Amino acid sequence: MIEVQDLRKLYGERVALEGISFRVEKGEILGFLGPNGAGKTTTMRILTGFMPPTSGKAIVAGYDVMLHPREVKRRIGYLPEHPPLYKEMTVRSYLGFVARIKGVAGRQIRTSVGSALERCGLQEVAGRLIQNLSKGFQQRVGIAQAIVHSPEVMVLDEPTVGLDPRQILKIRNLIRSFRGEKTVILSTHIIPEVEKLCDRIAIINEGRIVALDDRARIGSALELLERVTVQFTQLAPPLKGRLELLEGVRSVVQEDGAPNRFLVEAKVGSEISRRIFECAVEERWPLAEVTALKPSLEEVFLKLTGEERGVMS
Amino acid sequence: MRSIFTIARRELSTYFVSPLAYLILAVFVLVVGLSFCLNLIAFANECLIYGNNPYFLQQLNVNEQVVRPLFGGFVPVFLLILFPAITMRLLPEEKRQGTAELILTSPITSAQIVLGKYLGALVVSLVMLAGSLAFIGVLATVSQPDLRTVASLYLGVFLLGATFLAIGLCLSAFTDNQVLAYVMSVGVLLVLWFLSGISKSNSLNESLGERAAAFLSNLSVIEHFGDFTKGVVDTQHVAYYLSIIVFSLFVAQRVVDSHRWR
Repeated sequence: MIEVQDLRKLYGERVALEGISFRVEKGEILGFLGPNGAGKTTTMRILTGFMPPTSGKAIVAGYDVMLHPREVKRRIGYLPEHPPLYKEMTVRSYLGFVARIKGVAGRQIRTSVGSALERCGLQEVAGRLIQNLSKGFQQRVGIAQAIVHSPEVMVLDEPTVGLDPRQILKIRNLIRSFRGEKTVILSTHIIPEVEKLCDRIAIINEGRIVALDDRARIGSALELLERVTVQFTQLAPPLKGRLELLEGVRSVVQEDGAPNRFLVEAKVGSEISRRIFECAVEERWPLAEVTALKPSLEEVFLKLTGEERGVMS
Repeated sequence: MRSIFTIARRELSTYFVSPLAYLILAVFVLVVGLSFCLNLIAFANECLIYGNNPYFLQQLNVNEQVVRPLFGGFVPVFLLILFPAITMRLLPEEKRQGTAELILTSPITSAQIVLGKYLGALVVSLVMLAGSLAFIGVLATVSQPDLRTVASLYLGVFLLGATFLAIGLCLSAFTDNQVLAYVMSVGVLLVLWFLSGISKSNSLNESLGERAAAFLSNLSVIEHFGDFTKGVVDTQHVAYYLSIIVFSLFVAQRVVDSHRWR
């Protein structure tokens, strides 16, 4: 549905994108994760035809963005970082205006606006001026604006920025409802957001995609460590040494305040949990529990984008 | 075409939900009305004083002494001050509100955007001019203004205003600051206005050469307005205004388009 090949963008001397390539399949939600200024917005602006790339190719819904911009624009819904609202208009008349300039046929405008209002939960504020709405509602009007012409592709730039937790939840549910129906690219610098919403993740840093895959595979590709905690009912002194001898184990650390509990880090693919169980059965350890810890996306993100840069919320 | 009307309609609704359009309208009607009253009272006084003298009676003419000074002299100056206030927000506001990103990612061309905005502003100016028709109506009940002169005056004022709007819109494309857009527009219009003085100055005529001086003063917006006040509609002047309008809108379209390719 979306195919991007070696996209580059220069702002004068400054390099914003240095060769980005990726694909998004129909019905998929792709998350762009990256620090501010990494090139997320630039990529989105190129995809939506707001500005051209310096070089490279972008195909959206079967049309080249450079060669057939109007065909692409008809099929794409875009929520910029700041929702583009005419604040002196009412929600309903604003959506009607957007539907018209997006090329919705005259007869269908009422139904398009009606269904966008319903989908975004805006019916009760349809007649109010946008400037009098709360930020959460304004953001929802922004999303309604992006879906009013029933686009195949949606591009959402930081759709939950600046909202309170309840509003964030509502917006996320709304975006989740697009899964399977529309192809969505969303950008964020909030890590749990991509974890919760996206099928696949692209981590962007300094104009490059540094990782692109689903979450587990991003972790393993980076040779992150597999981690488990091991809890014993009682502590027998040689157990720590025994754990360290297992194949693939890098380190064993006793956890603070829990003398019977150890954090074991091992190489990915060493199946450390299974080995611990086998050993425990064989040697009759007083084992209470073994818990596998997933590599967190925070770790992946910080490792890829540089620790000191990763000031995340 | 539909997109142009959509943009124009939204533009119009913005003017008329904000106080701006009403304020401009009210100021226009108030000040033109005031000036009309003063002219009319002065004219009435002259009629009382000289009306009995058959020689002077021939010189008294409501067209020459009320209508022409008002629409030929005062209204154009007033348009120069007020119309840049109509155009100053057209393009800068889109950039400031971030709605430029919506407009430029919609399947419409930059020419449609510029024409839509221009059409919206043009309708506002027509409403303004229509407001001043009331004074002609008042005049027609007490006297017989020459309606052909009035019609050619209105055509002239409309063309002049349409030119001011096109130049204002064009300059507003260069900035995202409304104050800057206003000041630039008034400045450029004043320069275009005073160009007419060049061919009338002997020293400038000599130093520039007569042809260059004539050329420059022919560029002046007011140079082409005079004939309309005399009830003469000359296609040469109509063509001048139309070509300035087309040129300004063309430049505006190029500037808007260039935002896509920066």
